[in-house]
Amino acid sequence: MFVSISRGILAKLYDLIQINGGDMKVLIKIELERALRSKGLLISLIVGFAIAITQFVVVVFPVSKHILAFFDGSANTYPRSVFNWWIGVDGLHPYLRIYLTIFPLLAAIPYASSYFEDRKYGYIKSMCTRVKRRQYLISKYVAVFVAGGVAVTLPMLLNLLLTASVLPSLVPVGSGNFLGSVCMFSDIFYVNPYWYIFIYMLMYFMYGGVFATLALVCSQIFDYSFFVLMFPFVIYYGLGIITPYISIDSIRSFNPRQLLSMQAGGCILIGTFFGEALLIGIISYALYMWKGVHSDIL
Amino acid sequence: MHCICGKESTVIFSKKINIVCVIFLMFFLTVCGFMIVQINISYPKAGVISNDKDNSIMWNGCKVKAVSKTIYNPEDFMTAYPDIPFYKYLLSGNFDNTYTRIVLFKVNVTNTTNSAINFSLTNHTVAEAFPSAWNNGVPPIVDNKKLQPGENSEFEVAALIQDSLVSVPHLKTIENDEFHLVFSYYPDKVYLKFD
Repeated sequence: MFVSISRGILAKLYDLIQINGGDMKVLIKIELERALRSKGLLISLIVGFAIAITQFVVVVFPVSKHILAFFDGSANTYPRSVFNWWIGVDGLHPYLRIYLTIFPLLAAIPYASSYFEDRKYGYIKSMCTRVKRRQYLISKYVAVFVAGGVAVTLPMLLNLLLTASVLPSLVPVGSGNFLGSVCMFSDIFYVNPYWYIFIYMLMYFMYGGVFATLALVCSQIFDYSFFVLMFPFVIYYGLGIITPYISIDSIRSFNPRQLLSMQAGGCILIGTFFGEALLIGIISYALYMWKGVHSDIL
Repeated sequence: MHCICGKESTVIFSKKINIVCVIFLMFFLTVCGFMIVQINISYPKAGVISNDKDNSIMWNGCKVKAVSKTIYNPEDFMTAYPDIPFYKYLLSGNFDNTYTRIVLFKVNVTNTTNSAINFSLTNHTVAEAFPSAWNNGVPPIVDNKKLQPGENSEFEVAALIQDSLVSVPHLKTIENDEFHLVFSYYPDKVYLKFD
């Protein structure tokens, strides 16, 4: 059933792309180019890279000079490894916390307010006289999603690359202050840690993308770009605040900060981890498209 | 004479910046790649030393042989070992012991050197199980002995398995896991495998 639904969605997407001799492809290309060349993305990346590089310089680099510190050869000790020092699992220092705190802002700054600006400055009018409005809206959604995802994923990957350059990629073991065995995907982590990181990076991209697209929904409601940029942040924190008050065993925590923390422990369920991103994505897409198609722009 | 000015010069400048960025990126990635290879050559993946056909391994001059592994629930463990203090708290009534287990490892150690050796499992080993990825320290039952040259003795340690250490689905089938008593993780993973 899932396969047939997926096929249906892909077929519809393909039809949409083919309409008007590939207008959609061109539109997506234009929007992606605008997004990836935007100053917002540059600012977001500079902030993200600053956090990632600072963590590397302050924490990882000094540690890399003493890889065998405290290692006595017994099973209770282990050489320092990428997998317990890179920013993704560094719970001892504030860098990951800062990164996860500003996560929705990093995702929204690159391009999320562009729809608001297109409406405000009339770009949308000139676009919609040339292409179908639905096509413009979809291409905007894709560009915002990709820019948000790129902005939050690249700094993490840079930190991983830098850390892997100075610390060995020794496979994690149970006694090395690594991941608790109750944590989600711990079985993958202990066998192939880079696959574990890949799954998380994919989810960082997804969460960055869906939280950025929340700003698109907000663009149709508020008249201030500040509100538009802050909206994903408010939802992100709102979910974190209400999580402790809603106790559902089959969901557990749906605090995005906790979901994105690689050391969240046993309070995360795989279904919630993937489901929340999907749900937010579907809601933001549905609201954005519904409002976008039905609102008056001319 | 053709004059390059205004928009045209901006385009040329922008192209130059792009080329510089690409060259820098290539250089950066090459350096990182080189450093990653170097560091992983210096600290290669750990080798594996496990039980031989005699069911034993050599560790610090001692021949260590796996004898048995038994999994108890807390009540049965306290019945079998009433004098062991450190797991008594589990029976105080304040804990849900539905998924709590205690795994007892028995090993036989022979000193193969010409001098006496203080041998301890608790201070040097960690217990682990796969595929659940459970691991824990091993408090002593019979441990910390001085072995004379050629002397042979049995050692016992018991590790706790709880739902704070392993997920419940794994706990339900933990009896089917492969248990290890690990003496070292690096540069070789030295462990006794208990069937």
